Amino acid sequence: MANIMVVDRNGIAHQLQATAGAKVMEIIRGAGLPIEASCGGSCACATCHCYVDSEWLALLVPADDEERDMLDMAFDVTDQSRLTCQIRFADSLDGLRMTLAPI
Amino acid sequence: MTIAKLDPIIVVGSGLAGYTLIRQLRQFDAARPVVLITADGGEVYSKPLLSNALAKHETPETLVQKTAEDKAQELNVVLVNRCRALSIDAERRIVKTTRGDFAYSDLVLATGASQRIILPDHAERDWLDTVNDLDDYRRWYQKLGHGAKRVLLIGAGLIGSEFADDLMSRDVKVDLVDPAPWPLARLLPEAIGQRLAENFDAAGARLHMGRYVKQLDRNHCGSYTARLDNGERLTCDLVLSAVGLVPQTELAASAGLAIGRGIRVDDRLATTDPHIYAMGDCAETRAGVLPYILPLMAQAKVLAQVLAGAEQRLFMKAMPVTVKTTSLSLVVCPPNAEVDGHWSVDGHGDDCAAVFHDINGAPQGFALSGTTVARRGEFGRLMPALLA
Repeated sequence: MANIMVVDRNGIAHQLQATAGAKVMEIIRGAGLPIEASCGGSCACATCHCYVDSEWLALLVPADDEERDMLDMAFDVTDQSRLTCQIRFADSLDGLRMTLAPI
Repeated sequence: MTIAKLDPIIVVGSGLAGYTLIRQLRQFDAARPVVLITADGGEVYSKPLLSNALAKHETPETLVQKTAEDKAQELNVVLVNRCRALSIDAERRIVKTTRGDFAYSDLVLATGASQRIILPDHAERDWLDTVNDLDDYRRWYQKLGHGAKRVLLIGAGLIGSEFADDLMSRDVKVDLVDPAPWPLARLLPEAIGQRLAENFDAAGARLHMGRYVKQLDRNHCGSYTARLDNGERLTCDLVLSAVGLVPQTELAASAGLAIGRGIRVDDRLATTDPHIYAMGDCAETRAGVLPYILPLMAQAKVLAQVLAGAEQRLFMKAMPVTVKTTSLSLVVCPPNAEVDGHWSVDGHGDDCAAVFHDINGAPQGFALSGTTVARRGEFGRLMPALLA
């Protein structure tokens, strides 16, 4: 089983089981970690915002225009910012590590 | 004026609009006193999730992402919850509430919209459920938990259609009644709307399109019998009404503010009173009332800067909306209702892409279904800005 590592807002790392094809937002939500995802995963609210560790960033499908536009409305955006509803997990991403952005 | 400066910004409403605004405001001004007055509990939750919460196995408890107290502390605001704002004395800059009078320097109305109620003959108001906030969802969840097997859904618009799928995900039988010829008739061309109707039907819903509920009676056992305008009778355990949203404008009216479909605001989100602003589902910008997430986020960003003293103007590009119907994936970008034109539809089966062109041939809206929803960005770029 593949995993992702998600660091919560208290700095605690959680190893979560991840299924290929699932949205990373759903994996995080499903594990009960506090991610807002107000819009339910349709790239319309910027509240499933995470910072992806730099070594993994290049391995992800880059953000499309829509996600970049949405990140414009997010809070505390950095170069590592991604919306987790727009990242589909694949087995090649086993070990993917990210940190939840502040709510 | 000096005294007024010391008074806080008051935000009325703790929905996504109110909280997003305060969060934005705190980016520019960490110190300015803010009072949040809300008729609700003030918990942080995702409203868009309410219409697909059953399918996601959410309970009223798991929907709460943060308590009102925690959020208030984090945002450094004074929370006054379970408190209804009754009227505004704009001259003295005072909001009168069920918990006393509050003075403000600037006032933001983020009061949202409520579900419109159309009572069938014989029906009493409390026979019809609406799910428009967390309190509603608590009631609804509890009622469903008492073994409801059949639900009559009045209205096949965005919310009604999402609820149809949500209820069916829990094996609840659904009768969907709407006077329109197909579901989401204001958002979808016939070809896609009929496909959605077929998929609802295949999932087990009974559709009664082109019909309305003429009469509703309560039976001795607690169930209801609805009579449609064509005489057909339906029996159900619960009735859920989702016939449309009405912006909450009463408070604005008490201050004599200009009201159209919603509370009229300019491009700075200011109402006709220079110290009162409105945003979110209650507000009517030049682009009309837009009760969706994206517009309120764009508005929050602008209004926060305006409140912090910056010159900012609202700009909104085309904002496609994802419809959370599991029977058929949909993304819609509805044309302005006042624009004349026609739909052209490409594709077949579940997978269609439709564009609405005005009489000059310019694209004004679109609807995508099935796998074509992935092309929302590409279609969105063809659309005119909502507010240029």
